[in-house]
Amino acid sequence: MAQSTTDSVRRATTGASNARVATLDRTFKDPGSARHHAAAIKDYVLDHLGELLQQLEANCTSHGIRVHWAVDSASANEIIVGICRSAAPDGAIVAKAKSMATEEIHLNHHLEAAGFTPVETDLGEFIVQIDHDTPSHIVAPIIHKNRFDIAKSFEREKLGPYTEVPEELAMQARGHLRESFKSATIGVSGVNFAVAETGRLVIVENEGNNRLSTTAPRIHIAVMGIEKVLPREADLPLFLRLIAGSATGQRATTYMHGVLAPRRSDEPDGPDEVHLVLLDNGRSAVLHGDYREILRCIRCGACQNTCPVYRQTSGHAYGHVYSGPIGAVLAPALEGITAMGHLAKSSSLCGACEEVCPVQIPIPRMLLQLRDEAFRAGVARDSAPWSVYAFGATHPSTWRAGLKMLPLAEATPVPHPLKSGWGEFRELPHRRGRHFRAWWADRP
Amino acid sequence: MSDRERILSVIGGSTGVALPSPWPGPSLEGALENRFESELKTLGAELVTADRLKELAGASVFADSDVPEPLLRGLVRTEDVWSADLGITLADYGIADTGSLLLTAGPGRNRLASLAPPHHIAVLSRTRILDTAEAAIEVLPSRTAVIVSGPSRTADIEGVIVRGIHGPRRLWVLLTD
Repeated sequence: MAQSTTDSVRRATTGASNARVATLDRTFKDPGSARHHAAAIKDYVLDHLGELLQQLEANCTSHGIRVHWAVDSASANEIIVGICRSAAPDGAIVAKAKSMATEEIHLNHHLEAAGFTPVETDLGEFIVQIDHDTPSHIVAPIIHKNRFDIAKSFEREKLGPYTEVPEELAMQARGHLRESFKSATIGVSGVNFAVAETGRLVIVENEGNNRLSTTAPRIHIAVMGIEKVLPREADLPLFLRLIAGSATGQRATTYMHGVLAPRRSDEPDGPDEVHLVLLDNGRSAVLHGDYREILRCIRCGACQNTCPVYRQTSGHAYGHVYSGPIGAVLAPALEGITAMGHLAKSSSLCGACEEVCPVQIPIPRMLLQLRDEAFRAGVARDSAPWSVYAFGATHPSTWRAGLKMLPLAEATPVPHPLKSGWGEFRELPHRRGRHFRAWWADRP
Repeated sequence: MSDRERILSVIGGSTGVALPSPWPGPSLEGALENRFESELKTLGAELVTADRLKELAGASVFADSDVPEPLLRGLVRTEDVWSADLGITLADYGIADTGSLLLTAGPGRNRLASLAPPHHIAVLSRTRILDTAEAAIEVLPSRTAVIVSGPSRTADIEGVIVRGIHGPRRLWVLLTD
């Protein structure tokens, strides 16, 4: 039975939300206090960010990991393309593991423009790439597609005989992508956590494409937002539990890859070079504003899964790499109110996002403040009918006059303005009895 | 000004927020080996005895150099990890709480042996089963390492769990004394 995008998204997000609760309850005696603890560690990180990044840099460097700093996406792309040019011939395959940081800087576009062939190796991202689509969820990039869409794409790309069976589709992708891993000179990944005290880069995943991309090619380039640093190795277990539980309802992700160094002389395999690109791209400025806590985010997608607006619209509606509640704050925080301030309205302010957040980011408070800022900046003003409503609701005499007209409006046989679009499937409330204000004034 | 200087200057200094002590992690009750086995099962992996390897007679194997020779009897050794039916490696530690394995890069230890073949067998000493990830992180060596929890999987197509998408479809753990 074919599903619509909305059905796919609603089913997947609801399932992930339920699994999240069950797993966190089993993992932690008190999930609330674990989340509070994680938030406190992240607040320490944000306060000591400069020191921790320098400590990370020193430790990485001492193991032979080369550290690069990128103030913005142009700088990051230049660094990465530069490394590729120095090591790989034109057209060389760059095996890409799933990474939001590389989505944020639109790395594939820059690699292609420079003559390289980036190949997304995460199953979902691979499908996004062959469909010239964009990911619609932080963790589940093709949450908006169903097996029939995917079957058609695989048939078009001649990956094997037509099939709608998820196992068979996955195996076709496995076979196809194997060749990329074997022939890639360069592998690019993100970083989930980087440990300052040892210089270890931690990447979590379930498929194994991330391990392959960072093990088989001669060069591994890791791209990381500067806020991803953690102070100690001993902080890893808490965050590993939280990210696995919050993202997919797993007690542990299948693989936790902890990269400490390029291949050592006594090791039989692994990359000869490891590069770490520290990406700022607006984050350091966010640190000093009212949206600082958004930098606690570990990119688990739990707020997307629980958000009633995201469940209904899916990620593409946000028009940004980061969608859902986290995107509605992060996009304007990084790119400015003028460009992205309208996203603050894509929320019902129900508070579910803050409730599920593993690092307790006060997203609803931020959305409210962003709405205010956006309004003052003249961004995303209300549409005409809502402006009329807002004027009435804030001017008592107009409101009273309006109420007096209500019986007249109800008796008029013209289509009600609220009966189109949003109101098409909704019943208007029926007026019963007297006006509240009149009743209040007459009360004994 | 370099990017490094620009970023660090915008970040600025700290205001002295204190670092909380690490999260203590859960404490496990009961026998670690039993818990390890049941968690492995939940993940879709299996605890096996050396006898089970007989089923695989004739399969091509890519093995770590320190895997005990008797375990490889009846198997055909290959040096091409990409075409091997089987990868056999040692595991440094097991984690009972989550049924996980800690594998470390090092002399004779191929990172791809546990990853490229469709079937991975990890050899683990039963004296090396730790209780939690917290304990495993404490003994994490100064090398690149991976914690493996079950076979490779994806849920990207309609949330259906498919095993063996890029890594092994089958994961066996062989306990030794």
